[in-house]
Amino acid sequence: MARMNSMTRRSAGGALLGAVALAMLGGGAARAQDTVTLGAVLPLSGASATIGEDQRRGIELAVEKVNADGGVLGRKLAVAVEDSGGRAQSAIDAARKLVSVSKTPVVIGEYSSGNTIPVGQYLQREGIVHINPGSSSPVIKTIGDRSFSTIGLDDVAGKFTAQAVYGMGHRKAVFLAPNNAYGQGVYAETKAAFEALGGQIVANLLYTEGQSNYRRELQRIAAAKPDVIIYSGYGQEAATINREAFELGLSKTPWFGIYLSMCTADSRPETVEGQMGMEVNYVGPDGAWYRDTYKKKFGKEFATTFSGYTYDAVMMAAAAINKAGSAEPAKIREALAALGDYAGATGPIAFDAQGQRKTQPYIVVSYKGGELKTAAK
Amino acid sequence: MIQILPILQILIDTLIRTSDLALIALGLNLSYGVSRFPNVAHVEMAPLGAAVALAVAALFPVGGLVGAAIAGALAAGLAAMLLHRFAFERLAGAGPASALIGSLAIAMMLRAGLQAVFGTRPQQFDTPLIPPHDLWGAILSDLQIAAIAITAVCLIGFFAMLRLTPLGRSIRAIAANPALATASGIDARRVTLVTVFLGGTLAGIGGILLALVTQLDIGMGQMLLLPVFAAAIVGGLGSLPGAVIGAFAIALAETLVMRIDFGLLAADGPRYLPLGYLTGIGFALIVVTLVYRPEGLLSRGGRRA
Repeated sequence: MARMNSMTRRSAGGALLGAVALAMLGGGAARAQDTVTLGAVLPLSGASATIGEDQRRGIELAVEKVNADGGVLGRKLAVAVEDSGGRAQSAIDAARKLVSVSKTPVVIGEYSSGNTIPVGQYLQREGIVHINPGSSSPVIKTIGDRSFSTIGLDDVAGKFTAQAVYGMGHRKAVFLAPNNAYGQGVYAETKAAFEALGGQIVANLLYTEGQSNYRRELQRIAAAKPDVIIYSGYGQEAATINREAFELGLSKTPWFGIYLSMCTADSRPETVEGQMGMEVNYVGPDGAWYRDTYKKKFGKEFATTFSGYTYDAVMMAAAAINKAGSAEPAKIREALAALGDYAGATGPIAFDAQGQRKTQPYIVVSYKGGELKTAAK
Repeated sequence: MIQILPILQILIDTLIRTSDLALIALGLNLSYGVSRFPNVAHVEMAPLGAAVALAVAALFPVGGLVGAAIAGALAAGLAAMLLHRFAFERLAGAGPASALIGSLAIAMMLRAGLQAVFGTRPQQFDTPLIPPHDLWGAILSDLQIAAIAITAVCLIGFFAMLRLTPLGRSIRAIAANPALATASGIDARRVTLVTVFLGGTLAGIGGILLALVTQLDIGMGQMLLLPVFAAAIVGGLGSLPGAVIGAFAIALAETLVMRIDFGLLAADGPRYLPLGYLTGIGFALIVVTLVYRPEGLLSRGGRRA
């Protein structure tokens, strides 16, 4: 052809572009055949960033262990981690990307119940298996039959909290928690149990997340003159609350933190010194290996109590895939439900009829000398 | 002493909240007086100033906190001036509605830019933890006292500048009647740029003080938008003393409404308005002002300031 006119040049260019695009997409799919990729949605930024990073570490250690033990179905295991930003909308977007682009059969996530529930519901509709490694709202039971939890929910946590607080001699409490599915759930459970024991929750401050200061909430708490302040808050928000409570002179009142490691993760030590709280009993009888491996790889003890649950989630998912002999979501779901007793790093895990962890031991902890210590009680 | 209303605590809370808003609202009205459109991007100068101050405090500890604060405030003023020179001068020509929308877009870009550079985590100045003072039941911390004092000093200094210096006279002239001012030999464009610079600096100082007392949240601008505009509108858009009065009015309304105990009517224990409705109070005041006195409490003070 002596001379291409502009039309032919344009369509030739278009064809070339199309061919390149197809090659890129096709090439990606071909590569994916050697690995089984699971997905995870974690709060790598936002208020729970410290915890999200710790959850990611649990996943990293699990992937290494699984691949060292031979992988899944003879192939390598990989987990694609997406950042939820700590917000429900971006969490759902992250899940959507994992499902439609990375085509993961299982998605693990998130941390905050307000994000886990919509993500779980989305995954349920898409037929993808969902594993919750960090949220505890009782609403999670209702997500559906494709949703499982490696961590215990708040109906037991609330009772445990109420008994611990009542046992310390407190009768008049105020409750401070985020105004989302988690805060509402744990408040309802704790209030019911505490009042059944004979205590009274005189003020309930469910705060809007993400404020720059909580002065007004704390002033209302001070005005109520409670024996104890039962509270829970995500890392950075709790840091602000604790600092402002210190500056308002409220630290003198006893504080009881639900999931104390989460509440104190980012707080200045002087502002949380002496706080009591409850935590998940995060090192099970078979967990010593995990603890040592974590320490060896990351140089320190657990940053939070939550890395073991994502570790167990990945390990159980891998076990289910191997048992089912397939990476199809439906088959993985059946295998997970029938997995029976699993010796996890966080203790023995067995799923009940609704896919939730049957037993979750809790412990009373206190914050002394700059770190969490198990209390004698 | 039995107090039905803890007067001292209410006064302190109102003063703290006023000092949160006053400088930024003043900067807003200052810019409005010369550029003639409500600038939504103005409130983003507060987190910008605080973020730069934090960065300077971390990277160049030589000047200490004061040096970092000055750097942050100047950076905010500079940013406001550059934005005006390269964006708003053109937009303002298209009419205040277009300029408002344009400033909204620029505010979003600024917020995203701040997030990209400084990250999404809230950050704090490295200030020592000092237990607060207890004044007959009212709680006040050293940082809060400092913030209120610095705000007062800035306000006094600013109004003195406005009254007594040639620059202040030029600013008042431009705000009152730009055509006449230009005819009397004032370089309107240059004075406008200086005024916008001052407005941005004031917002920067406001942001730095806020960040010192609480923390730097990249969403600070967004959280300040409604109360600052409420303060400016209630006091009278364009009125400089009005901005301060408006800030006080908003602060007082917020503090009082949040302390009303509705439980006294029902007699079943204390019942307060949920704190989530806090921004609604500023909004309600805007609506009341626009209905009953649209020009604000001190209408067009720019003429006589």
